[in-house]
Amino acid sequence: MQAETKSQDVLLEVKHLKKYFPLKKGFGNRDPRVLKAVDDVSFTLRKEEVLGLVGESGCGKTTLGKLILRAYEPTDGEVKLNINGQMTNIFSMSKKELRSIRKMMQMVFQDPFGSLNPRKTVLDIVGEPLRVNGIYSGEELQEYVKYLIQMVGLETKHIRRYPHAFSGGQRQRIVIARALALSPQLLICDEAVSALDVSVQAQIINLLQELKEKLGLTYIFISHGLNVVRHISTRVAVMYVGKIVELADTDELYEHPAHPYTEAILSAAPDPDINSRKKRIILEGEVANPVDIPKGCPFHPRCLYAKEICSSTVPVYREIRPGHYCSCHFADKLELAGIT
Amino acid sequence: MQFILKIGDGMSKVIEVKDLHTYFFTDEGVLKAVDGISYSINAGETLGLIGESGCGKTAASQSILQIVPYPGRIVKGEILLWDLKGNADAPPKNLAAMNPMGKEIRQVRGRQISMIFQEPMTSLSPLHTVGNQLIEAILLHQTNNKAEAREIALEMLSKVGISNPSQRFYEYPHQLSGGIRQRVMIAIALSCHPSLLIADEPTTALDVTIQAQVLELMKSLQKEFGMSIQYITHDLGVIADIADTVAVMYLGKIVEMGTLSQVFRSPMHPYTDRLMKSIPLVKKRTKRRLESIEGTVPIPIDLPKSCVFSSRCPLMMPGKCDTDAPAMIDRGDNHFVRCFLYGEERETE
Repeated sequence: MQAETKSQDVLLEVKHLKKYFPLKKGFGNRDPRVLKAVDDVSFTLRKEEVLGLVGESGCGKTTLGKLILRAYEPTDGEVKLNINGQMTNIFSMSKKELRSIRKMMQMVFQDPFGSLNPRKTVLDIVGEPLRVNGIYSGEELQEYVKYLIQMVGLETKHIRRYPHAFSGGQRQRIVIARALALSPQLLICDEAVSALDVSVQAQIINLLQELKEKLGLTYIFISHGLNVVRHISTRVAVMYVGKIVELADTDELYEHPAHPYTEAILSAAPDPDINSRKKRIILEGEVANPVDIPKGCPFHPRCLYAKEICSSTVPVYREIRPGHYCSCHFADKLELAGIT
Repeated sequence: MQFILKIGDGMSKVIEVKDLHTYFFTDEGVLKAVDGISYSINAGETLGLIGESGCGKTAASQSILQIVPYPGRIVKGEILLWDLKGNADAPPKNLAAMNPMGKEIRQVRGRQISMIFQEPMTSLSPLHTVGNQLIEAILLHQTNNKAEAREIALEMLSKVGISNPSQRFYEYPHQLSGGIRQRVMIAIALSCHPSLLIADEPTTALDVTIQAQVLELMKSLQKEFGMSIQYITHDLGVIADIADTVAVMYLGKIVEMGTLSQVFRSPMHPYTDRLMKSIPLVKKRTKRRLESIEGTVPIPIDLPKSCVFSSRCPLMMPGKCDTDAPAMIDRGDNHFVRCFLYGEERETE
């Protein structure tokens, strides 16, 4: 049974968050269609947890990450951050207030090549947030950058080098060092290891876990790699065209999925274990288009278990078991195959 | 060194790569992308070529079709191709000896051997319709008749599971989703019924449910056409799904080779072993820390004589692994490994 979450334990509260992008058509021809990138998402993030966010193209996971950092203005909804025990909506903060809380949340992106300015040294890149915020300068700045660099497993002699001198994995370490410079509480990792070679991925995943223990960090880990997500997350949310369709503790979700889409992606995930030759569920059709979302349950055209109600009524997102949320008309009635 | 490795029994060979060396002559020095690999693929079989960045798997595949970009070229070795549809007794052709710009290799490309890549958006012309690009390959190798070519094209689109083929025919690549674009690529690649399909990370950029669809498609078309596949990827899960035989590459060499079962159930080479342990499983919660491989892949320019993996191998034996290069040896039942832990044979240059 899940303990009642006290306010000190909660870091973030997302409430009915929406982000719609109107489509434009040239020369003033209004396209009435709207791209529903994030479509009524709610969840609570506890301190020091790792929330894995999985989903395929167009599910909204990247937009959700950016909304939380207020890189976008929402169409509706709130994101409340725990500031000294008070849950405050970041969307109602002034620019000045925002600047101070932005230090609390940082993002680590996928592309270690595009994330670093090729004309700046490692010292400049990692030191920039410290300098810009007036935290350190000169000698102290260098010392602190060296400390950060070592924490991510690089050598201090590297601080005078430029990004092109490093491999993909090393660059990602630099990105992480920069993200940690302002001592954030929350790191949003958006496909942070996806562009890396398999053996390097393992190094970075280990690093992220070590840093979490050492610094008491909280992560939102966005990825399409179901195996990586299982390894690093304490809870997992599955998204499909802008909505969370299922959210549960990691093992619970993987072993006893309640949503047919979760069952399908678990089944489709490549498995190097040749001893378990499972019968794959192969879904028909393409991933739903966030511009043209099917009526009723957005997943119904591809769902193996769809009934008439699914094409007319949007299912309610509810708690079907303690701590296990799902939006499916038949959530507690289907016996879906998980991965044990 | 002539080293012939035969996997599979009694079936006809489609392609045999013998001691292939492909080097890039750069300003910084000679980059030995492929440094002596040998393998063969039988008809209807799938070889999974596993390796990470810098292992040479792409250069090896490019070598087969003589599309190695400048400043690279094949410097040694043979690539023998049998024409299983023609005269069964005819000797194989050596692709490595063909002029990369010549007529002979052009007859092979798209007809006997086809290739599909990871990014269909960069492989397909954005300026031509799907139908146009599909017909081009057919007109080149199969028929002069445009109407007939169109029929064949529509049939191919349907075969790869594209709905409304006659509508898609007139669409441009940018109008299609990633999964459909990849199906179009497969349609183009298979339109002339090649005996060998080289697939270089074709599903890596696709969503997981679409990847599952495309893999199923490739397997069923393989059965239907009796085609062989050389499937290149770093994703061991995909290999487990599609490969019959596996070759693990590292820094231009094959370090382990055998059937899927042999390599995945009893990996011998420390690199293969570590690679498998570094991947978290979807199946069950793995240990807290993943086993990673220390360091990074060195650049294969001016490397001293040694085992290619010695700089990162946890079981490296100083005085041996860092001074000599091990030869590929058969550990029984056609399971090959290149490692001093299993034998003393050294590579002869």
